[in-house]
Amino acid sequence: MRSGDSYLQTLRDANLATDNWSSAADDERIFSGAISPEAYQAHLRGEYVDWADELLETAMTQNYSLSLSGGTEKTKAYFSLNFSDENGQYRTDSYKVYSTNIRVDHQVSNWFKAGINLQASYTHQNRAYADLSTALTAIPLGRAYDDEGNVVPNPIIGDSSVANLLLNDNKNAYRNQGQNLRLYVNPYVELTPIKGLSIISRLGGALTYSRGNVFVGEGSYQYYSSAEQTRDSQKFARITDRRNYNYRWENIITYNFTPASDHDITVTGVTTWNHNQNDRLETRNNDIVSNNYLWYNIQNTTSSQTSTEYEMSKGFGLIGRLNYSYKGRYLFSASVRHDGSSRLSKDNRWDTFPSLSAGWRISDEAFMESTKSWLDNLKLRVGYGVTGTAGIDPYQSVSYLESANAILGGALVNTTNYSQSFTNRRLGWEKSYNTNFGLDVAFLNGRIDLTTDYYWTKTRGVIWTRDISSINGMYNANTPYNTAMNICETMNRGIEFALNTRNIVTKDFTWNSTLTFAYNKEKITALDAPDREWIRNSGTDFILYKGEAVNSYYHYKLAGIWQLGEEADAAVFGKNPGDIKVDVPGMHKESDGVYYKINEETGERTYYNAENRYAYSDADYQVLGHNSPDYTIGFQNTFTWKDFDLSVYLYARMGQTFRYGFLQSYDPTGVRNFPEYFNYWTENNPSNDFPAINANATSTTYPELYAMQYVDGSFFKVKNITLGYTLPKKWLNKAGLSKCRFYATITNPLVMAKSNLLKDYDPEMNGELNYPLTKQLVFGVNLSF
Amino acid sequence: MKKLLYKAMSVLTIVAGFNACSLDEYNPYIAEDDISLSRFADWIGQLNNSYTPLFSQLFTTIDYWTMAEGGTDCWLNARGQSYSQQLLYYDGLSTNTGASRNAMQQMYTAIGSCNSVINKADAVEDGDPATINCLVGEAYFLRGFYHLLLTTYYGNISLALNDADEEIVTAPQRNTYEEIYTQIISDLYNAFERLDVEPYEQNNGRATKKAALGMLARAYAQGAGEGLSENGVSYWQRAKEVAEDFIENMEAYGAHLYENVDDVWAHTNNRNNAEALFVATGPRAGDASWTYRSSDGSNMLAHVMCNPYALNDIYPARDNQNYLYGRVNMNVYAPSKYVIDVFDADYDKRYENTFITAFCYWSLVAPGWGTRASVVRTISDEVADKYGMKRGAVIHPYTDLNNANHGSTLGGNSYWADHVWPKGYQGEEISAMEPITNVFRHPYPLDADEDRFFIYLSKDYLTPAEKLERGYVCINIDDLFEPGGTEYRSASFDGTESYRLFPSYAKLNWSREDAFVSSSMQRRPGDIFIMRMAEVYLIAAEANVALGHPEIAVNYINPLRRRACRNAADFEAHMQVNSIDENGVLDEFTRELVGEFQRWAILKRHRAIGDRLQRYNRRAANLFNESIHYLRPISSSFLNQIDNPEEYGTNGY
Repeated sequence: MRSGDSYLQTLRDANLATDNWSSAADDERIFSGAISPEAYQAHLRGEYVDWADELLETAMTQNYSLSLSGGTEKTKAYFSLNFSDENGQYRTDSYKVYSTNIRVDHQVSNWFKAGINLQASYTHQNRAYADLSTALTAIPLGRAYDDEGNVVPNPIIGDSSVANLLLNDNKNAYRNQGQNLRLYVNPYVELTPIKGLSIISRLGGALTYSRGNVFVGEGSYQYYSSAEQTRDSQKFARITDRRNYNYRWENIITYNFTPASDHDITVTGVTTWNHNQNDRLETRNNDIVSNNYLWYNIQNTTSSQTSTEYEMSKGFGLIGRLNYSYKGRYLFSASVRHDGSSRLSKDNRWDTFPSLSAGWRISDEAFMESTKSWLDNLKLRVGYGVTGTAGIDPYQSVSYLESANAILGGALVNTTNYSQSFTNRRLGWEKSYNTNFGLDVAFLNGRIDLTTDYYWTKTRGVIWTRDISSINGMYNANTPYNTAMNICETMNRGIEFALNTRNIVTKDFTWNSTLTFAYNKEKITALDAPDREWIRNSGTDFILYKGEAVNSYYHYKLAGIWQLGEEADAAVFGKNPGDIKVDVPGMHKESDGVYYKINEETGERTYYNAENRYAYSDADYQVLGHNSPDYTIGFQNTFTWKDFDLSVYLYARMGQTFRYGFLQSYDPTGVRNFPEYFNYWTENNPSNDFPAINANATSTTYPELYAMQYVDGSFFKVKNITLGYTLPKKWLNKAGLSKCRFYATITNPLVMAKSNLLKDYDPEMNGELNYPLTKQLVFGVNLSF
Repeated sequence: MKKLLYKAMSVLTIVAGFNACSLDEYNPYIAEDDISLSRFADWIGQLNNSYTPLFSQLFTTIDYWTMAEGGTDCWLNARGQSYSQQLLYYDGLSTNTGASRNAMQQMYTAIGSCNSVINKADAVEDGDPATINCLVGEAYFLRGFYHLLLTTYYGNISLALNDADEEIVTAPQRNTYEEIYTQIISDLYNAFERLDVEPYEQNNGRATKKAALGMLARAYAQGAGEGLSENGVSYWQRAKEVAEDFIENMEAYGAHLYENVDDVWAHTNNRNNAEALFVATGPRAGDASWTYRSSDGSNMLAHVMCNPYALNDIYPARDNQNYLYGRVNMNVYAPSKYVIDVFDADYDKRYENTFITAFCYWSLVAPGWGTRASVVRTISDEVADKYGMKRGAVIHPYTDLNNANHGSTLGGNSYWADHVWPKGYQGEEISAMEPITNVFRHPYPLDADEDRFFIYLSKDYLTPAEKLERGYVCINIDDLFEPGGTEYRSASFDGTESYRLFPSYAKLNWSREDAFVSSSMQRRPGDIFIMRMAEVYLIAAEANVALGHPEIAVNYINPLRRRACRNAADFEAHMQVNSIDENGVLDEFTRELVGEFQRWAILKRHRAIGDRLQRYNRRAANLFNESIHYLRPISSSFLNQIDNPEEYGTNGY
């Protein structure tokens, strides 16, 4: 990050660009103008802070687990206890988990079995306030601590307009807490009244209760960020309770019989019912007289607010399946499901989904006898199936009236408006038709094992929520009405394979490796909107464009920066050297300062020059890429030498685009901080990365800057390396141990991104900045008794 | 064993039967039959909803202000910046310009609610028929008003008359200007017939008869610009008739014109301003609305005011502690030289009612935070020399911001000024203060011996010698402009940061007890005029000039000029006009209404934008294209939502 001289240089560059700086004598004036006179004094004293460094820490994580299992012939029991204490990357982040898993299975009689599995966990979490993006862009001037080591409210002495980000590390002034109780109960009964017949009834219930407490008090960052006389209004306490409960009840009846030798038939029938609901209660109050209150003393005063929310949905399915096997060599299966979901429109709630598959174990054929010596297994698989998705939120298929309040003429009046989603009575299941070919091969006595799959999936009626034209009114002035539609048809084609090899097997040394590869290509083949090549909702990153993937990013395609010498061309677009250059589809250059665009239908040319300018607009947007990767490769290698073991995991993900918001935080006035690798344009630095630094720039100077965020997220990394040592058996027996292994793991030791704009960043975070993936070093011991 | 099995099976079957009966969702947000709006409370809720864009979006956001005022002869970017250059200078104005996209959405959003109110009025089962009739009038008024805004900015758009619950339009067709204006006029007449003189529930945010009549005059004038006529009578003639009739009978319609222009802009008159025909009005301290959302006020002041702290070696308050002017941290829109020059400020008080050019500080005597003694500033010789002002100046506070001084009724942190300290006063006695009605309207011109101001932007050109006689920083407004006067300077020209200052638009800022938001000093929720009586006079004059009757027109110009006079005697000597032409009317519109969301529309109806830009805003003139820029772009978000974007078009963008 910029600090000291590099920060000063950027400020100078910004003011030099506007003729507002010519020599060091102007430094004081530009500091005062851009920040404050006190900031200049801090600069003279050399007071700079690396806020990211102050906020983050090298944290300790502890994890203990204990498991026991045992039982009698009829009853089997297992339980485990786990405690983990993780201190986060931020100083005040902490995360403690207490969890247990209890499982009991009991054979009541020879035809009746019952059991229960219980998982419970309790989480206590403290969240830090300041996020990394705030820290990275904060003005780096001043000091975080005074001479006694106390956090100072305003880092720049005498400048009360900038508050110290570390203020919220003080637990008396700021807290953001989460407590989470999760229970998962899974009882079942299984009846096997006659041979081959099994009836299972299974209930899976999950209950989550979470509680969020937030307190912002006197002395917090928010408090000191506000003007002196208005600070009290920043204080508040808030409690949020969330309760989520769902259960799934399944009844499965299976009958397996062999009508003749070599014929094996299994018939299965399933009913499945699920019910989900969650609700939220929130209460908040701004009347915080004392920091001692926290959220435990919320009273009913004029500033208290309470609200509740509720949501539920249900689903039911009936499944029938037949499996048939001849000599274990020819395998065949057919199934049909009939599903209903409450989320869909009443008339289209139910649908039926068949599937078929067949397998042929070629290596078992007589004619393959000669290959037995080297070929262990060769199996061909073929499958075709239809699956359904009802991926919309509850209540989206009905419209209703909502009420709220508004202010009119100083009075509080009631308002009503239609709900955001309008009913689409035609909305039905999104259905995927999947065809799959697979080949499994194993040879050389299991030294090489290969599984490959090739598939293509046609999805019809992809559910997507489309905006309704504002001409019908809008939900509110920023949010259009919408309706869920079966909007498009897509095709996915892909290949997956996994290759397991045992490369070296000797007495003391082994080397095993697993190589996995997955490739997928998605494209939209049809849109449910006649005459349209694409459909896009406003305010989203994504577009549905024929021939492209569903989650395709759509924005300006940047073409660098206008350079000195290109003045005439830049002027055609209303730009100057230092401004961002956009690749405009269909725009051609005729000569310096003259461009033309060809009308696709009429072939007519429209000319543009400095007088008749062309303005970049969203008509120039292009598909920039998609969020799903083209392919991923994983390569796991395990080496053992005597009692040592070493594993190395390499991982690559290629072809995905994501939005890295931090790149947009470039402040062309040079006031807010940004990393030194943000190579900005000046008259002497013909950069093609970031546009010109300019003290008079505002938030709207470079509207195209937004598109800088879309980057190629392809990367390769060494995901982890683990080195272990197992104590020799002979030493252990005396201690009563069956195994004792010490190990050390390092995660993410090497990350290489394709884009030069992803520095000091792990692209596996997919654009998210505030919780960067970390390099982690773990030391551990496994003990078994 | 079999018995047990049967038992188990039957229990399972029964339980399964209970559960699998229904896939209906329970939705707590639905009240029975509510979508039919048959209950009065539900129905009026939709009407109230159609008012909300006025205060929370259009007339309180700088976006809409820029669209309504920008791209004209009146406004430039401070410091030659690029902020909103799309609307100020037609530079890069396109289908994704946020302000024009948002405004269109806001207007159609409100129209959607109006249509539900109008189309479902007959279904209301409870409620008083006379009340319902009046409220339907409000809906007609709003629908006409929003359609008028739509066609003014976007041309021949589609009329929206359907209720989304009954019919969804996916491929809208454009209407002709004639169809659009006929509908607007019909809606406004309908409103005029149904509305009362007094607003429903005495709420001054609601439309009344005078609002409908005033808007009718404006609609005819705007439609006249499209060359329309009604049964063979030109819209200019209809505008003249409506405006003249209104002026003639204004007391009967509950309208009023103040006799002194200072009263229009008195902060004490901000709520329930007698000259208002229709206002955007939000929360007020001391009311239930305040606790609901006190922060819901305009932040436009932050954009149209300069930050006096740019001269931070002399001015004491940084922007986030400026309790008097508010958090003035954007500082982007400054008046053109034309606007400054169009006022004959020696006689016309509208100048200091429109612009703040002298910047002061305040005391906070009662709580002890800021006794006069503690806020008096003695200017060092070094600073005095830097700015070329008199050495040894001692600058006193101009006002006091503590409500306790004057007896606060509303409580809480509220800092406002309705008294000022006398010039030359040295004591601490609150009782010595003198009442004022608008603390931003400072004496003009500032006296040479003034001791209560730090910075003065002088309209009259002061020589260095004259500056040296004064105990405050003087900056000539002319010096803030680049040579030629059509652009503000973008860099320091005198070795100080004075180039960051500019005459600051005062009509969007109020110092009132009920308009101070303690949680966000960027916001001030005062009432904002959407239309006031003076505009009806101007329309009457405008229509008469257009119809070739300048001699009648002056009868409607002179009342406005008379009440603006600094001294009564100035009227006959300096302010009275005996003849006026189209250009003169446009200048008078500037003096009276600049910054009141009207400039672009007025110039448009005279097709005068190109000519005016040539004279007063060259940066915009270079890019203004007569064949495109008389319409704002149809946004691509709008086009994305419809099935016929090619056919609908972008308005040429």
